[in-house]
Amino acid sequence: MTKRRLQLTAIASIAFTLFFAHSRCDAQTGAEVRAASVLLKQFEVVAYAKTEFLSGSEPQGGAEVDAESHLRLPFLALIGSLRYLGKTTESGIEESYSSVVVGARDFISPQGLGMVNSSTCYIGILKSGAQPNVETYFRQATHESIEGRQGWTWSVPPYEGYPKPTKFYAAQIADSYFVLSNNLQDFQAVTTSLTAPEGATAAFTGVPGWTAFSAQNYWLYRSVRRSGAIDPDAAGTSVLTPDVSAIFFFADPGKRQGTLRVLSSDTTMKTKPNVLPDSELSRLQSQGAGTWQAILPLAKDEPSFDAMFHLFYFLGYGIAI
Amino acid sequence: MDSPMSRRITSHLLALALVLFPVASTVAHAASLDDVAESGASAHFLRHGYLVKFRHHSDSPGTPNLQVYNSSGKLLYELTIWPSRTSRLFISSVDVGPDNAFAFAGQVVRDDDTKTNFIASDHLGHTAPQYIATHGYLASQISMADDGSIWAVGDKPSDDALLKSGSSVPNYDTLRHFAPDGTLLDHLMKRWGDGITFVTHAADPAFVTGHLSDGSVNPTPVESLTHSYRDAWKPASDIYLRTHGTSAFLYDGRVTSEPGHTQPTLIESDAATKTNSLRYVTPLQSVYVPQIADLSISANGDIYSHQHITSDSSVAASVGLFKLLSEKDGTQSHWQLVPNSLNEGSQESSAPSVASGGPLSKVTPLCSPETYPCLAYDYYRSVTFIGVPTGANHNFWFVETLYGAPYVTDAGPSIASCSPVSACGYIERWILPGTVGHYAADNITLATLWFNSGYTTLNCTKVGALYTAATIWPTTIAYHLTGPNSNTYAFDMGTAGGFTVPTPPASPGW
Repeated sequence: MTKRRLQLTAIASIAFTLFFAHSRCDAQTGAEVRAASVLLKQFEVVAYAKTEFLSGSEPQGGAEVDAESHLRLPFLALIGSLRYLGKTTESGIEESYSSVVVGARDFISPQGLGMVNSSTCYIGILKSGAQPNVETYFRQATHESIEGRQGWTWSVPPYEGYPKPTKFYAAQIADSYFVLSNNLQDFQAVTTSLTAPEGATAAFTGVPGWTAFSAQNYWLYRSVRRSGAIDPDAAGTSVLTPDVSAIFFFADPGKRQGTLRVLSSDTTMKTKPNVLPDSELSRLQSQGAGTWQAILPLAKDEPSFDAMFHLFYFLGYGIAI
Repeated sequence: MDSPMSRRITSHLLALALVLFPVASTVAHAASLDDVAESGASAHFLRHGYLVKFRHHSDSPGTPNLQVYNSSGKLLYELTIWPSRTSRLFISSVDVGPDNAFAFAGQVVRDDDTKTNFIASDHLGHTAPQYIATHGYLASQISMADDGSIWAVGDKPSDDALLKSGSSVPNYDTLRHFAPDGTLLDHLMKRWGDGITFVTHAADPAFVTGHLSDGSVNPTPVESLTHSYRDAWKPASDIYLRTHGTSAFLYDGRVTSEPGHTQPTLIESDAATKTNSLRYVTPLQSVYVPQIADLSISANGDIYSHQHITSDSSVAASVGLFKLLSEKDGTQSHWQLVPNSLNEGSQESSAPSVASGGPLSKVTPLCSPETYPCLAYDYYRSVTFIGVPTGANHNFWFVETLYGAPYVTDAGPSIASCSPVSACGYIERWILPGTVGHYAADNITLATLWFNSGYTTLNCTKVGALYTAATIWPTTIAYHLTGPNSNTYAFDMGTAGGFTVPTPPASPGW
């Protein structure tokens, strides 16, 4: 484990113990923790990645089989919406911000082929020492007041699986964050939380195992909501093993391995949760009452790819092909 | 026509027709000759003792586009059909009637790019055809009756643009009967089904919405191209329009899983009694293959077919002659093999005589190596999200079946939106002519070719089996985001065709 990650682990553990009353760690890490905290409260799925991973991992042509490519799926709306404004917009944001946290909820299926969509909100965390200069990247967007907050709006034309244009909202917040959402209410709620006094938002109640996954360069957490789903098929809840309450996945991109943890209300551990294909279920091992764990290869082969394809469906990122 | 192969096959065809149908009113079109691969040329066929060949597409006035030979294979007439002010000409169908009368149908594209659909008639040796404008109706197959009248089955291609623009288009009859002078004598078989007054486009561009005379909307949308007679001019269409006496017979061999279309049908329309009847025909094989290469009516009104029978284990086809027999209730018919007429497993087979049981002639199977190359390509492309590749690939097939008609067949979830309902339904498949599938991105010029069967006649049986499997794909296989999905469909199609396709990259569900 690198020194950097050891620092993050320690910081996160302390923060979790103190309910994140106020982080004493460096500004960037504190911002990441706060961004995650805000999103974990409001969204069913929250994921975190370094921007250097997002900018350097795009599949080159469809011939590539890479299980790791699934790690990008929670961030495709960010990449696609920025890319629509121009390559410099995408690269500018990726260069200025060190990491991105995303929250997603209300999953819906595409019309025809495409990826499952959701109400999504991204928070970019400014690189240490960087000066926010977002205006230069958003010349193609409309600069306007969004419910009293200056930001940018633009519409992306219909894309695969979605026959209507999608409006995006973005703003620079408190010289530390960049917020982008496809949902106005989420945008308002997140920007409001990020500008509130830190003590009012820094609490990770109900997020078990935080210390384990928050130290990773990539993590994804889903607190399974079984009621109120708009489209249970898209959300995966129509077929997900009923006793699964939460799913964690974390990895260190480039090392070709990820860890999956599944929390279950069934402490007898008789039935393995169906979050992996049948052929991969043997990887799930009991880690004590109510906890399953699997070490998953993120290899460039079909079985690994299929396993991640299956898993990410249950993480809210199914693809209709 | 001078090659040994063509002379041999011509003689075979003539022998077959003369023995079986000495005074046949019509003889089918699917006999193969070595020059059928000639661009846009029809196959040769026999009509009232003449062997006829014509060119479907012409774009210059100086090139003969219709040849008529006598029963000895001697060229009697070489005609250039070219109406005035024509820049391009499409001849869909030609038929020769009694007393040297002949008719043809198609579409003229004028110098100013306007299009005129027509049916025309003339006499061999005479050079002044009488053209009958059929307006929006394009006769795609015609048959000349003994009284010189002309039966036609067709479609209105111009309705496509009207529907696309949001206009409504009236329902119309697809089967029409014209007097020799062009008078429309009768018409029947509603394009969009009985009771429909007009149609408008549906939300899904592959469907139209039918409107009833009382102003209500037909609750079941109609798939736009299904059961259209637009392609009846194509030899592989499996549609045969024949006449006998005062009746026209329309055999439609296309089979789908839709109710009412699970068996071939034979419609008889009698111009004298003004009666119509429908019979269902039990196909020879449980797995449908477009296998009728020839359908004819003998002098006494019996209906015969020349059919190919394939098996999963054999590329070579068996060839046989079959007679259509009605069952007791009169609504169902089945094919009965003419005794001793079956020849198994050879590519150039010997079909014994009906009457004597001795050798009759050699006939070339529909899918002969000399004349009908076929291909099947599997393509994949990445499914995208806001234009960004997801990394997961969707597969589809591009096929050229018998006679080279290209199709794309692709699949996906059956209903336009899975939300807010709780399921995406079943795996729906589409078979669309051309190079683009149901999804615009399923375009062979944009996607990546993964599997290439090769362009060879040896593939025809396999491609036919693939096409058949696509045709009969059921509506009962549930679609799911983790599979089965479109890749499952593509895999099944390759398997049905007997192709060994390596697993395409990043294609879950395959």
